[in-house]
Amino acid sequence: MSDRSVLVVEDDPGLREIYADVLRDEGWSVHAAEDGLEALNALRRGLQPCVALVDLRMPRMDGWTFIDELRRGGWETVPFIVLAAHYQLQDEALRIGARWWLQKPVGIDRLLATVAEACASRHDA
Amino acid sequence: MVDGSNDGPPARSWTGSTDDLEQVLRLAAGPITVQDATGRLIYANQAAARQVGFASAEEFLAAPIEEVVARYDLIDEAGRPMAFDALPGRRALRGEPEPAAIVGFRLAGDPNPHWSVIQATAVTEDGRVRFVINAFQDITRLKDTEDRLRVLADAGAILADSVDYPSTLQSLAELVVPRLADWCVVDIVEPSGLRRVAVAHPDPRKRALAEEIQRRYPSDPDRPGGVGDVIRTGRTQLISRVSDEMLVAAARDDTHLDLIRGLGLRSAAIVPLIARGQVLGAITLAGESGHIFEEAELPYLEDLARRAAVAVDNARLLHEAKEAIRLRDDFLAMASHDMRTPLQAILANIQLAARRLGREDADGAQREAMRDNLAHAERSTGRLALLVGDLLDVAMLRSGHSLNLERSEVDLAGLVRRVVADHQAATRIHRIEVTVAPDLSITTDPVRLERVLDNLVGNAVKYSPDGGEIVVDVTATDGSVAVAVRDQGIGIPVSDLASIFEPYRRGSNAATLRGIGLGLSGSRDVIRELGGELTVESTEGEGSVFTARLPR
Repeated sequence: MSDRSVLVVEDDPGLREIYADVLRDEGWSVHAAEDGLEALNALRRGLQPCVALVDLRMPRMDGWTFIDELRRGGWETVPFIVLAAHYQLQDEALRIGARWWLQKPVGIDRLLATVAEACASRHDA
Repeated sequence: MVDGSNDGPPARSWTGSTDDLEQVLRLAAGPITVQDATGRLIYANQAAARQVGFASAEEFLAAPIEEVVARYDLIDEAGRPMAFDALPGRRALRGEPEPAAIVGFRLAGDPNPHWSVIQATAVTEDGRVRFVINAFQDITRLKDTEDRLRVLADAGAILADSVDYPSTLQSLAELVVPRLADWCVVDIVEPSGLRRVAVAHPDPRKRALAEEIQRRYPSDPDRPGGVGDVIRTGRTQLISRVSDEMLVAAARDDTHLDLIRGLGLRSAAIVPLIARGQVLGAITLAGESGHIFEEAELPYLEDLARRAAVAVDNARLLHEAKEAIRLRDDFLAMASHDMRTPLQAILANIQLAARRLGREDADGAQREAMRDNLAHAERSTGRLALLVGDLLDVAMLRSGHSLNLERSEVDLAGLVRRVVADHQAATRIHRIEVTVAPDLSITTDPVRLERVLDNLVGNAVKYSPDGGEIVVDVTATDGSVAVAVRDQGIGIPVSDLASIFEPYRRGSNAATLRGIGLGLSGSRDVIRELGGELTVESTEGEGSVFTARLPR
């Protein structure tokens, strides 16, 4: 596991780019995937992010499935943040069992703070 | 000494002759019969003779008992066969005091039973029955009315609970059979044609026969006669006596004729289901031997049908209202999703630019990055404006308004290339090709046309999730241009092709890919507003071609 690395899973190319910019500006290393399948393949190839930032609605493999795969595939220790535009996001996040969730649009201060908190939770545990 | 077993006050003595007394009894309106101690009929008046189908009392009295019994079937109050021995007269002979019963007489050749209350009174001498007097009171009309009121009351209870109307109508059909008819069939008009939602008959073999007929020769609302006529005209059809010629005329071929002869129909009434002025379907009631439908009972049957129609109508309205709420919630969820995405891009880019601006050491590269952020934010506001415009257009079109079009001379080649460039920039796994004559221009509303093409190319990308080639091919003739967007995506199942342009629809193989905006429904409406037409050809698993044809 690398200390300050984030796996970004987001299908909108503009958002993928800006999340990566915001995080890299603060010294995070970023691996961006355009859907759950691409993210899962990166993990299978040995990527070890400190935290995953996950959208829900995506083509090919959505966020719900990706989070299931995280748990089933041995990556259950990777904390994930649900960052989505779902209109009842809190209910959905609780249903999934997410510890962190952010409703779009989220300000970058809050985004960075949540990423830092989620990543730090692994060291506390 | 002859005593009546009645303990009431003594009547005044008859002062006329015995002949006169007999004359009075003979012509009395109510049937009266007298049996001797062995049960043999020793007296009957005219009304009693008519009751069992004899022309005169003399004929009735002269007939052997076997002949009399063979003339009718006895039924009890609940409609079950009744034994001869259960008649009040026989019970009085066995010593039962003042027996009475409601008895139905179903005469051979007359399917509608006659109902009487029979009161038997034994006349005794020295404790022994000498003879029994049977007084009949005709309650056929009363019994009928009571039955019908009970059916209406039971129907009310069934229909009040009508959320799932096909099963409600089946319950109604089962209620009506056998009380009003031997057969009850309900057909409902649906967008795809007539749907048979209920069939009731006491005999499962007959029901199976009716289902076989319906399967092999489905009801066709366009055929003259029968249910089709009733649904077209909204008027009840009464066929009091079904003749074989009618069956021959109605049959589509010899097999059909054999099958419908097997139903044994003798009488029928087809009543429309009408609610709020609309014919929703028809109830067919038919009789074999037990029911002959008459003009006089049509108002009653129409009342029953009206109640059923209101229940169907209510169930449909409830379903439509629920569906509308579901679609609205779905739409709100999608609108929220689709509008929050550009908002996120705007917010994050502006905040990041501000953060970068705040750094003391902002160098050339940082300034370049800030410019990128602001350009991205600007593009996203354009995206958001497009979405809002689409939403407003969809709302206008769906409420039946026309769009306020702003037509101008449009460089079609440039417009198509711009749309394609935006989508190409957002995907790495698709290659989008354009073939268009360079100086092709048309007069149209450029904003609306761009939104439709944006939607079509966006769909082509979205519904080819594994990538591939997308071709946008623009061809022109003298009077029109056609823009065809061809993808190699998941395609549209044949069963969905007809409904793909309905609001909020998408192919059944595309459930996980969603979005608002014009959608195909809005795109077709907008293209029509522009004077053109939007069509689709598709093969599931191979891809789709959407073609927008516009006047030049």
